[in-house]
Amino acid sequence: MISQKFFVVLLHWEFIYMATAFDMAYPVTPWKVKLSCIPPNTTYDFLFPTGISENSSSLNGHYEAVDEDKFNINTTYFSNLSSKTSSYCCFWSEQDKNCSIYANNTEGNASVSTVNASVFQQIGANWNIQCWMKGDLKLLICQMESLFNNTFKNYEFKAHLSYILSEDLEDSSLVSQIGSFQSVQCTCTVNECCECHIPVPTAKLSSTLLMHLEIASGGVIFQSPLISVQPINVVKPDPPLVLHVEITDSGELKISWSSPTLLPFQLQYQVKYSENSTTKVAETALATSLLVDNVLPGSLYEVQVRSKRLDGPGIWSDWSAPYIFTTQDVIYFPPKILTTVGSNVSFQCVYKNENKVVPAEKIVWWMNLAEKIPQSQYNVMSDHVSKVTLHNVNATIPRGKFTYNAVYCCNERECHHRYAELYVLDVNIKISCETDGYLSKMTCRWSTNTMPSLVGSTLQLRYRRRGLYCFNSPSIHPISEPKDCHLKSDGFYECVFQPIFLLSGYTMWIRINHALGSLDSPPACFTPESVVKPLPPSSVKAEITVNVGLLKISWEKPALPENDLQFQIRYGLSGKEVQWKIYEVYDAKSKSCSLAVSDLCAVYAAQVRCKRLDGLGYWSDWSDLAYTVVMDVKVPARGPEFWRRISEDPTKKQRNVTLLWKPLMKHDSLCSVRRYVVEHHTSPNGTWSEDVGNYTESTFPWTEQTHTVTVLAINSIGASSVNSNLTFSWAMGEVNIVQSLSAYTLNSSCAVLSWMLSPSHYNLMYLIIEWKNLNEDNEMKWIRIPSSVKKYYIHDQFIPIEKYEFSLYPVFVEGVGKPKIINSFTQDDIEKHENNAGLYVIVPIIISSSVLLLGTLLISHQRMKKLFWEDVPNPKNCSWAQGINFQKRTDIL
Amino acid sequence: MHCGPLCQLLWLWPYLSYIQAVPIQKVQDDTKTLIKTIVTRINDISHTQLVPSKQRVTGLDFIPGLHPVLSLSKMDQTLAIYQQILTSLSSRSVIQIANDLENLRDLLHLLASSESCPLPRARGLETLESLGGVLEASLYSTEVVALSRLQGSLQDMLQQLDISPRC
Repeated sequence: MISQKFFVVLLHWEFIYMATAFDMAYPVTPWKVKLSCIPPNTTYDFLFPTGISENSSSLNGHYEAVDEDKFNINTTYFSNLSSKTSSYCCFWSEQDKNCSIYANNTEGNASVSTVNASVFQQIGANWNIQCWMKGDLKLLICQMESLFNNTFKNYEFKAHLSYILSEDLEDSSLVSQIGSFQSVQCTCTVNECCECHIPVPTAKLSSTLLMHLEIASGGVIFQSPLISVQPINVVKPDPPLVLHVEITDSGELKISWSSPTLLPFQLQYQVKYSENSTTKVAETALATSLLVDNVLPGSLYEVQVRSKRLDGPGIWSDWSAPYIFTTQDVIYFPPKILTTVGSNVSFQCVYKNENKVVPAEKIVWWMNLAEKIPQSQYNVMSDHVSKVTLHNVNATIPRGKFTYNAVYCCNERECHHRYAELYVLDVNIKISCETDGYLSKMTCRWSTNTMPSLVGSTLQLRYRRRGLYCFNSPSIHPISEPKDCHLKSDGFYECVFQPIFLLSGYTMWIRINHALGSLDSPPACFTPESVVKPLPPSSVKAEITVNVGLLKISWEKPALPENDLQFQIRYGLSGKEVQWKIYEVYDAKSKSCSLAVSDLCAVYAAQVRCKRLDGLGYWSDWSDLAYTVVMDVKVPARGPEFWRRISEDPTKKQRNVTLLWKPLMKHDSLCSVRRYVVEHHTSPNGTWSEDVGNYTESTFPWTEQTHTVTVLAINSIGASSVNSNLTFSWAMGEVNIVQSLSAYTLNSSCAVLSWMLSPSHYNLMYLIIEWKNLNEDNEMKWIRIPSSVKKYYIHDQFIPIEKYEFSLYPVFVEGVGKPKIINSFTQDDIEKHENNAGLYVIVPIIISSSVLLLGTLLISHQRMKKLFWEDVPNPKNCSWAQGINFQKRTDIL
Repeated sequence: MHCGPLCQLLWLWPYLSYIQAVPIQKVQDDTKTLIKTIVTRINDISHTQLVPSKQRVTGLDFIPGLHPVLSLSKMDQTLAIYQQILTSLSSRSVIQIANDLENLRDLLHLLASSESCPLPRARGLETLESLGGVLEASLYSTEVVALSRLQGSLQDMLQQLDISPRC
């Protein structure tokens, strides 16, 4: 409308300045027009027949209103631009074949006459003119083509086009603009066609382009009236690109394409497709795809698309290059399905067999060509479309390179070789997350080891953070973010969130992207504060407490998390392989614990770890190892057991007593002995002590009737509290309570002693056994045993051929009694015992063996006799055999 | 705009839905734990230990002072400003604290909802953007002072939470 009004205004202007005889511009909204011109020297009186309007005035200002609509669509125009012009030209179209001609009369007035264009066609020069804007919106092309009835058709012609782009024609006169017209030379082919290219800046697409053509042919110059055109209204888009045809999952034929360039307006499309030579045309607005129902198997489809401006004037583009699409004899839709374990999937198919589409009810379905799918799972969707539904599908087990199940649509007993592919993945990927001890980083890990890989698929962790906490049952939110994860050497993917929102719920899942679609693993939700793995406790120390004698382990809790923590302590004797014992502390405020241990004098190793008291999160790593240091923890549990060796000095007539003891072991000394002290007590002299240092023997003269000694062990804590006494008494040396003593050797490393004691009114404390090898000059050995024991096994090296002496001393509170001494083992008893034992075993064996042997001999004898002499006649009973030497025959055999 | 109780219900709805699922005792415990966590984090940032408490730093008046914060809404307002300041500092440890503050503010809203008092989402300082020059020229001072004051404010809040602060 704007352009139309513009031209009305223009027309007004033009008529006011009619003296210039300048013409109106022909609007090329119908983008095809015809140009007809009357050559010179042609009698054209007929141009002004009576009764045809000639009332256009020139200078008197009279102007006949022109119908606006008619002006733009139906009015025809003619050209008489300059004195050089020697022809009359006008535009007309197929819709309106009237050609209006303006002419100057002799008085200088202009007149207009309307002539049927067919007159021009008979006597004049005629051209088809087409103008359009190229799809790239940079070039306007005007094409001229000689009409068949062109009288100048046989002449070579040249053309050039003058144009001006103007945004507002009201402000300036056309006359003044004529001088500013630009001219382009048109490219012409011989007698046929000319093409003129006018560059149009993108910013001026909506401007008005005024132009006129000048055609020289046969020595005549034809000049067209002005043509006006808005480039944006005559855009001829490029043909659509990337034409594609496919069968949708619902069994429709989907024709899709894309627009070649971005245009400043929307497009409509026309789709021309032929199905087995039957052509159909469909139109779409805006959409760049079209769905066609009832796709047929074994058919050939040819498709073309063209486009045009949707709203407003425009020109259809050329048809795109044809796209050929052939459907197979069996069509599966969808042809491939990717799904998860436990889901239900459906395939549909259309099957053409020997040029005949198989009825749906005759279609049967097979899986992997091995197993017929039950008919209860079939559905007849239409006459020719069958559907099968597979319920609760299991994960596809890869068979070699085939990672899918092949689903076949068959015609009763005949299956086409084509199949649909079903990929079932177990996407139950477990994600685990762990927040570090600084509560600043959450690391999530997941692995696909349990899931067979699907070629061409990519995995991505996606997550969505919720302000606070997790929902009880997390779900996949449509809006989510991807997270970068890195594959580690252990096959796990690791994704790090840092910084974190401690109390926010991170719902995450793994998305498997594949050309067939995407699958999501079950979502999991983590709140970083609930998956904390704290730092291990620090400053861990282990010690055996002095006097108390417990293993005390102390630690410092980590600074974070601030939640209450529980602790786990493991401890054990230090060594190559520590046998750990576990102790748990549920008191969050505890910083140490004391544990009873069997050996206070050993080195213990201990470690501590912690976890939230409410059970959330993970155990920390174990702390660094802490070791106890062996040191005295208590006074020695007892003094050493000791015995004596008495030697007499005949010259001084005194006895020297040498006390002997074994060094205290750690578990008795708790844990070391610094020195030993011998306490002496005699009636006349009282009590005195002798420090013997670390020595384990001490000698003193025995001069009094009774002399009592005690040996104390001293460590850094103090002296042993429990000590044994030994009293030497002349009188007690005659007390004999040992009635008998026997010694036996069990083997070379053990001898057993047994004895009988008689009752006594003295207080027997314990017994001492002494033994020594009489053949060697070794030290005597001794051992203290409780008084209640009647038999004792001595573990030592005992050589049977050597002689040993055994002594048994009763030790009373009052003093050492008289010993029982034997010089050898009790041989008879041992042998007797052994013989008796052998007799009971060996005699039955001998008797049974003898009986068995005798029986065997008897049976063997009978068998041999039967074998060799059964068929041999007895020469004594047989006359013919008499005289024959059977011995000789036997030799031969 | 006067939309009445319906608007208030709609405003509270997200928080009410949380309360249905999360026991309020847990929310209270988590709030205190989170405050302690932030205090510990600030302690672990070594340079904040260097500021004598009595040393006054001028030109940083936009950082909230150590005034006792008595109500939940005031706490939220104070934390919103700290969160805004810390976010603008953009160092890793400080950003983590800013994240903690966001969680803490959500918890405060939950607590307020449990007491049926609507707590409008507090906005930070509108003038902070105009202080870009100050921040840029005194990043260190801003971080130290902000963290020090935040630590003090949090300890105040911890005490207030024990005596059930008003809306």
